[in-house]
Amino acid sequence: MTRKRSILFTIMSVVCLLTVLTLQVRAQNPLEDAIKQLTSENAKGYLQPFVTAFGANMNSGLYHSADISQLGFTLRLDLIAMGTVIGDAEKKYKATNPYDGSEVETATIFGEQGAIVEPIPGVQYQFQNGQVKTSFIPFFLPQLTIGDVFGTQAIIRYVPIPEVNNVPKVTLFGIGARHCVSQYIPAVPVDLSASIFYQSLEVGNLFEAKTFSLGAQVSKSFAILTVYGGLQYESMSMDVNYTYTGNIPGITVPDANVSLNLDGKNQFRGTAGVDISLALLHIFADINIGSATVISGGVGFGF
Amino acid sequence: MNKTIFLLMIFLSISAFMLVGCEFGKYPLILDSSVTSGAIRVDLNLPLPVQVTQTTSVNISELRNVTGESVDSMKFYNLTLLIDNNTSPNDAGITGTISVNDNALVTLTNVNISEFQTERSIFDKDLAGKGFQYHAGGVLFLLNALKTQSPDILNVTVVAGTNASSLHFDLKVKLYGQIFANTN
Repeated sequence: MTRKRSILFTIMSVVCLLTVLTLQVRAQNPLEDAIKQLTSENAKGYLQPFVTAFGANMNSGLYHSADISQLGFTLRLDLIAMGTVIGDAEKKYKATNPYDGSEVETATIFGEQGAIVEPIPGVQYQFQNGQVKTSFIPFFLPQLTIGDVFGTQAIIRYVPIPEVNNVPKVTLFGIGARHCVSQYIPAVPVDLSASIFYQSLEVGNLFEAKTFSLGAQVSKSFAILTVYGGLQYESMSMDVNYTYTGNIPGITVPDANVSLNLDGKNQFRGTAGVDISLALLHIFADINIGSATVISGGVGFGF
Repeated sequence: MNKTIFLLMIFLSISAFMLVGCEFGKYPLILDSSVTSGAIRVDLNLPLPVQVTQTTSVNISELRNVTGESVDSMKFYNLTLLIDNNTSPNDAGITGTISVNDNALVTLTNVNISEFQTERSIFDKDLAGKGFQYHAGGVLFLLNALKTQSPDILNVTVVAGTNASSLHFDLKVKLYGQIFANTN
C-alpha cells in the first residue's frame, strides 16, 4: 500500500469511528434527562436491556483465529463492528405504580410509549417513553494485536474522544492476552487458544462500564479461509450516577444523589465465525449466541 | 478488484450499517415535576376561634423549571398533603376544606392528623373511609390549569376546625405535573 493510501485509510477509520460514537452519544443528553427522572428501582428496569446489549457488544470481536505461534511477529490493527439484537423481551419491564405501589408493565429504553395508570377518571400518570427505537444496537472500535512471544499475544483497545460541545467525553480502554494451548497438544488437528480480557468505558459523568471475559477458542485454516469458534464466560458491570429529579409521591428517596450498579445479563456465549486472509488484509465475521445475540465483523490490517 | 476500492466499500458498508436502524427520541421525553406551596400554619386554641382560614399560593410556571428542553404540554397527575411541625393533641382530628382558586378540592370530616405525617396523595384510596373526600370539580380545575398553564398562580385556601382542644401544625401542599418535551 502506498503512503497516501495508508493515510487515507487512517483518516477514514477515524472518521467512521467518530461518526458512530458521536451519533451514539449525541442522544446522551435527553437520555440523561430521562434517566434522572427515574427512581433507582425503575431506572434498573428501564436501563437493563441497554446494559446487557452494551456489555454483549463490548465483549465481542476479541479474536478471529486460535492460531498463535510460539515465537513470531504479529502486528495487526482490526476495525471491528458489532451489533446486539434487540427483541421484544428487551422492550418491556415491570415498574412500580406511583399511586398504589402495584406492578405495571411499561416500556424500557428500547420500548414504545410508556404505560399509563389512572387512579381516578381523568387523572393519568404516564411512565417514561422508550427513547431508542431500534432492533439492533451497534458498536464500533479499533483493536490492536501484538505478539507472538511464548505463544502469547497481547490485545489492546483504546479510544479517547474529548468532550465537544454537548457531546460528553468518551474513553474506552481494553487490555488482554491470548495464549496458544495447542502447542501443548501437538497431535490435535486444530488450533486451540485461551484468552482473558478487561475493558472499561466511560461516557460523560453518567455511565461507567467495566467488562471481563475468559474464553477458549478453536480454529482451522483452509488456505485463505479460517473457520473459528469459541466459548466465553463474560461479565459486565455498569455504574450509573445521577441526581434524582423525579417526583413520585410516597416513595422516599433517602438521597437525591442516586448511584446504581447494573450488571449485564450476558454471562456465557458461543461463537462461530470465518476469517478471510488476503496477505495483509483480513476480513472476518461471526455470530455470538448467549443471553444476547451479537453479530460482529470487520477488517484487519497487518501480519 | 482494486484493493483500495474494495476496502472503501467495506468502510462505507460498515458505516452505513452503523448509521441505519437507530431512531432516537421518537416519543416525547416525559419529565416529572412538582412545586410545593409555602407552609400553611394552622394554630387553633378552642373554644375560640372555632376554625381558622389560611391561604397560600403555588406557581404553576415553576413546574417547567425541571428541564431545559422545550415544553410541549403539561399534565396534572397528583396533589399531596403533608403535615409538619405538629404539636396538636394525639387524637386531634381535622374538619374542614381545601380549595384552589375557590374550587373545592378536598373535604375532611374529623380526619386524624396522623394520616398526613407522611406525604399522602389526595387520591389515596386508604383515606376514603376515614372522612376524607376529594371533589371532581376541584380536580378538573387543576387538570385544566396545568393543561392551559393558566392561571399561573393557584391560591390554596385551607379552612380547618377540630374536635380537639387545639390544633398546631404546618400544612404543605405539593402539586405534581408531568412535562412533555418537544420531540424536535
